[in-house]
Amino acid sequence: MKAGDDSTEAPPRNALSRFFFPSLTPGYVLRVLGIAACAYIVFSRVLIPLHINGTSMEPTYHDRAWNLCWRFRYRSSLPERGDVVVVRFAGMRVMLLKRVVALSGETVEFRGGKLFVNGEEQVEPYVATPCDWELSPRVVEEGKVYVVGDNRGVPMANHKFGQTSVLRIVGAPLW
Amino acid sequence: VKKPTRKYLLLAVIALGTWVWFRSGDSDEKRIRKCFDRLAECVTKPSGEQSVMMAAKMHNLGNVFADTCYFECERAMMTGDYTPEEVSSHAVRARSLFGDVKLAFYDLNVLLSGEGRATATVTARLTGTMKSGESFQETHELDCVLAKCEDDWRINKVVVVQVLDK
Repeated sequence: MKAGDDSTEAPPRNALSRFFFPSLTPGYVLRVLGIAACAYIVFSRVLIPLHINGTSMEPTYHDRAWNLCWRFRYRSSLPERGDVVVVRFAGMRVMLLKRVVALSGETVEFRGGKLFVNGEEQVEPYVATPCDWELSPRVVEEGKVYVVGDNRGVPMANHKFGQTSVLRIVGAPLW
Repeated sequence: VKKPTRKYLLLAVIALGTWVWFRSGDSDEKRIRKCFDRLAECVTKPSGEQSVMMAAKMHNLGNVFADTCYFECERAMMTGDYTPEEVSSHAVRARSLFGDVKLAFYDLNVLLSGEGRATATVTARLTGTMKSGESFQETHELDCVLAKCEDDWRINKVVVVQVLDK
């Protein structure tokens, strides 16, 4: 305050104070709303946060790990054999993480724990546990893919796998 | 408070008020959501549940279903028409296998088709611990049909959708 001056001025705020306690200006409010809208769109439409719950994809994906589902992975292409995909139920709050092992029209079977596609034994470096599954040959229907988890150490009856519609595949894990 | 800031605060309060008013209404869709909430509450069993509590839940469970409800679940060999009493007795038997169990619904999509009928698609997730100590987890997509009975919605049909077909 200058001598002989009746007006008062607010003391100057330092950068740290401005950062933690910003002035509620229209520009600031708009910036916050813009960031919130972008974050909402990105994390609800493009990169869906995944919290893995279960050991079905061990050792590739561990129980209680975090990941992101990249929604545009299959925008212009179809899933291929060996891809890890995210399969939806009624929506995207609860989904399945599985590996595509056979495409539509192919014959899939398990013999002595080994995966056979069209009668040829498949090399699966991602399977780390011994497996004794036996599954008679079956043809994957049109518009569907056959998905299985990497953890084959569990009894076949307890493991959720099978053919599913490609329309249910909502994307792939980002890493 | 400065004038422009006051204006923005007023806008925020109006937006919040509109949202609260919209959410607090009692539309048919909200009643259907409440119906699924009641179902989840009745099926859920905390460890050490008292028998009085169980009896009350099973009584309420009967009120969630219509006079005849059609179930289609090939895996559980449970396909056919069931009365609310039969559903309750099946639930009592199933719950007795668990030490604790929790039913939760996700991604409920409701489509009102008029004339007191609605279809709902939902993901049902059942988690719990068996009496043997083994943990249990099942997730299924359900296609349901609901019918309006005296201002209340009751489940009329439940079809378990086969997402993975071995």
